[in-house]
Order: sequence, then C-alpha cells, then structure tokens
Amino acid sequence: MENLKFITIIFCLSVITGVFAQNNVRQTAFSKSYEYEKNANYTAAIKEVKSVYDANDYFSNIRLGWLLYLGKNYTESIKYYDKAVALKPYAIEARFGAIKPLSAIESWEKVKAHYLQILKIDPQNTTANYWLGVVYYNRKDYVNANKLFEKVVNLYPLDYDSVIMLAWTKLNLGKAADAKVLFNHALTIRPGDTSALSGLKLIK
Amino acid sequence: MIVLPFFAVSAFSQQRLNPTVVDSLTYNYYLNGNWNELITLGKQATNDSIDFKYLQQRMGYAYFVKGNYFAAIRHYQNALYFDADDPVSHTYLYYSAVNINDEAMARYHISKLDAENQAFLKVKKSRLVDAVDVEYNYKINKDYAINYALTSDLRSNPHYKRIGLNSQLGYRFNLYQSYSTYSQLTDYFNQTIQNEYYISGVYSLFSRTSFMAAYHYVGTTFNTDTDSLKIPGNLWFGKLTHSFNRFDVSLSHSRFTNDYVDAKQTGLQFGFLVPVKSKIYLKSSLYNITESDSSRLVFNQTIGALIARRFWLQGSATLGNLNNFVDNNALYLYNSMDHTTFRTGASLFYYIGKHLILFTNYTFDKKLIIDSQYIYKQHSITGGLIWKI
Repeated sequence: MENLKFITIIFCLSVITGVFAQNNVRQTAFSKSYEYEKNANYTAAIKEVKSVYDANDYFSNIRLGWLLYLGKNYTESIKYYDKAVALKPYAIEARFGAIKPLSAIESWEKVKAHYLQILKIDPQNTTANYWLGVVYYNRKDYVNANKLFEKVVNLYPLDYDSVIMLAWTKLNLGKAADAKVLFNHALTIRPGDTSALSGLKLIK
Repeated sequence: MIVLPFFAVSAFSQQRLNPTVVDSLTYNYYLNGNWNELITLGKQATNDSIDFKYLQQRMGYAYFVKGNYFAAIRHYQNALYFDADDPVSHTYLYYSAVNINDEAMARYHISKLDAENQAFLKVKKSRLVDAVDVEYNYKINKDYAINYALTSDLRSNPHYKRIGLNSQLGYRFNLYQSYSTYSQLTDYFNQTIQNEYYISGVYSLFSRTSFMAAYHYVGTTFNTDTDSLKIPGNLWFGKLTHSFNRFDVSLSHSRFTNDYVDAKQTGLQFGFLVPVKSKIYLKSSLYNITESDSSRLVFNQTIGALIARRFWLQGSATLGNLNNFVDNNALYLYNSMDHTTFRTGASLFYYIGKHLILFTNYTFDKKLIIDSQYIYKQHSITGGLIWKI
C-alpha cells in the first residue's frame, strides 16, 4: 500500500513537472528561433520551432510560415500560414502573413481572396483596402480600386501613398478635375513629388 | 472395478510409475469419466518424465470437460509436440478457442484439419460479409464558457459516425474495413470535417500468435467562408500478439503523417484473464509517442467483466497527452483540434443472441485548447451494434 502511494505521488509529480517543462521547452525554442532569425540563420530558427511544433498551435504555424518565407521557401511557408488560417479564421494576421509568400510567387487570385476575407472581417482595415486597391489598379479595374482608395483617403487624408494612388485612379477613370485636386494635394504633402507632377502634366 | 483405480494410484504413488501403467490407468479414467483422478495421475506421471501424446490428450480432455479451457489448450498443444497434424488435438484446440472467445485461434486450428474434419465442423473457410458494425457518437462540451475575446475558442458538440465490414478470407486471414466521418464547428465560420477509411488484416502465424497490419486514411478538411484547406493524412500500423495461458502480450508500432504531423507510436500491452467465474479481464498498455523531436508516455488501464448473463462491462482510464494517439488497432486516431489530457470511460456490451451485439459507451475527456491553454470537459456517448451474419 505504501509502495502504491509512493508510486502515485511520483507519477503526479512527474506529470506536473512535465507540463511545466513542456512550457519552458517551448519558450526556450521560440527564444532561440528569434536569435537565429536576427542572425539570418533561418534554417536553424525553423529547426528550433519544429522541435516543439504542434499542428494545432496557431503561433507555431505562424512562426514557421514567417521563417520559411524569410528563407525564401514560399510553398512551405504558404502551407503553414494556411494551417494558421484554418485554426483561426478570424485572425487577420495569419492572412496578412500568407499574402507575403503568395505575392512572392505571384499567386494574385489567392492574394485577392485573402484581402477580401480580411475586409469582410475588418472592413476599415487600411492596409487591406490600400493593397487590394493596388491589385485592382494593376489589373486596370479602376472602379473597384477607386472605392478602396477613397475609403483609405477618407480615413487618412494626409497619407501620401493613398492620395497619389487615388489621384491616378481618378485620372484613369477620366475624372481629370478630381485627379488634379488630388495631385496638387499630394504635392502639398510631398513637395516636388515626381509622380504628382507627371500626373498634372498629363491633365494640362 | 470402480475401487481398483484408487488402490492403483495409491499404490503407484509410493513407487515409480511406468508408461504402460500410466497409459492403462489414464485410459481407464478417461473411459469412466474420472477426470480428477486422470489429472492427478497425469501430473504425477509428467513429473516422473512420463509423457506421450495420449496422456496429454486425455488430460486436455479432462480439463476441457471441467471447463478449464486454458489448461485444456496447454495439454492439447503439448500433444501437438508428438503429432503436429493430429486431428483430435486440433479439433479440441478449436473447441477450447471457441470457449475462450478466441476466434482467430479457433480458425487457425480448423486450417490444420483435413477437408473431412473441416466439413464436420461446418465453419466456412471464407465469408466476404462476416459481420457488419455501426456506431454513432455524440460529444457534449461542458463547463465550456465561450471566451468572447478569443472567438476562435468556439467549439460545437462534435458528431462521429462509423460503419465497418468484417470479411474472413481464409481460415487464417481476417480483413476488416471501416468508413467514418467526424464533424465539428471550431470557429464562427470554420467547420472541421474528417472522413476516414480504415483497412486491417490479421494473419494467424501460429495457434496463439498473430500479426496485424492496418492502414488508415485520414482526410481532414477545414472549411471557412472562403477557403477550404484539405489535409490528407496516412496512418500505418503493425502489431504482433502472442497469448499464453491466460496472458496475452502485444507489441505495436504506428506512424501517422500529414503535411503538418509526423507522429510515431510504440505500444506494449499486457492482458490477463482472471480465473474467476465472472471472467474478469485486465489489460495494461503503455505507449511512447514521438513527434516534433520529443517523446511522451501514455498509459491505459482497462478492466472488463461478465457482470451478468450476456452483459460484458468494461471500464478504462488513460493518462497522458493523447494528441495524435492511435487506439484500438489504429481504428481510432485522436487528432482533434484540442488535446485530450485525461480520459476515462465505460462500455457495456449486450449479447442479444448468437448474431447480434448491442453496445454503448460513455467517455469523459479533459480537453485542452492549445492557444488559450483553456481546459474544458467533454462527455461522449456512443451507441452501436455488431451484426454477425
């Protein structure tokens, strides 16, 4: 009976110690991965995270997605970001993460799908509005680009990038008067800006 | 005539036995149904290094009649050392195996009989549709408060459905196939669906030694409003089992892989059937799971008993992190999003007749949400039936 008690106590202690040890091991592995990342040793950083990897852990998937992206292993990076998205479909950071390797391999349809989903979750998200606007603009879909750039400019009227993109979009839509105002506004924000000056030249 | 053997045993116990006397007396006891005397003399004779096929067969039969099937098996197996093809030994090993509910062993010994004896036992060599089983499982998450700050912590009550088909392809080979599906909502717009196919084959290498190989396809799909992430997974399993007397021991190994997981599991199981009327069966299993460069142990203790005529009750407890845990010969893979850190439960089997078994199971799981480290409880209820055609 005494032996049984002893074994039970030892077992409980080992389980408790095991749980704490697991957390410490995880934190140490992540900490080492940050150090390796700083030194651009992505292979070693990936190895550290993989040593404590849990497929159901959102953070592990995000971290591997990021490190693989830095290591230019875009296909693998997308795989881990996809898993993170599946684990937390409400998290927009996983989608922003996925967009990086997807853009690197120019998978624009998937990039667009991620931006649309981000905007469904967070309609006012300026980064998504702006970059989806850029995607539409590059596809010469000025109507949709206009809607998105306008939204950003309304939120951030002094943001040069959005103002200049909206100006060019208006110009391409044939709205020269609106474009002129916006190019001039861009010049006020950034005096002597070549893009704004070349736009104004086209209007004159 | 009846009194004579007693004198004979008494007299011979004082002096060395010889094979002729042992043969004569044991045959006499056998004919007269004096099982206890036969066993006593048989033991005495074997202690005196007197051993021959008929002695072992007679002792085997004596134990068989007394209902001690494990001892009967031991003696009939000893008889096979003298004559490996003896139809009587194989026939009674078959009957003994039937009585200890070891179908694989029973069929192995039929395979050793000639066509005439096989026909006499009326057991078909092959049956494409030997048995069909179905089960439905519903899990209820309790003490589960949705954390509105962590919307991805939402967990709906999952469902699991399964259908299986057993085929006997020869006396020594058994094939089992199963299809199952699992579904759960794990976020406000995320549904996990897992469709699985399982196939296993068991080959009887020897009378009480078998090798099992299984493959389990695990197709997981995460569906959201816009995306669908499909993760096909493969689970391979192998197991070697050997039984001796009332003990059985198994060594198993499995490997589950998909795009994200590579988990290996090695297991060692010990089973023991307690020699009591209610047929208490104890099984202890220890597993070592290796994934992501780390290992952990899982321990399971099961106890089963015949609690009433036609009712078998079985309880079990499992300790350890059951993430990607392979159970029940790889028929079940515990790869749900939240890890089970403790499990206990009980199953009740009701043998309605020769062909139909109803079963129900209750399982309690302690579940851990990885990201938030939130622990909740899960109650799981299963109902099913096995139809032996």
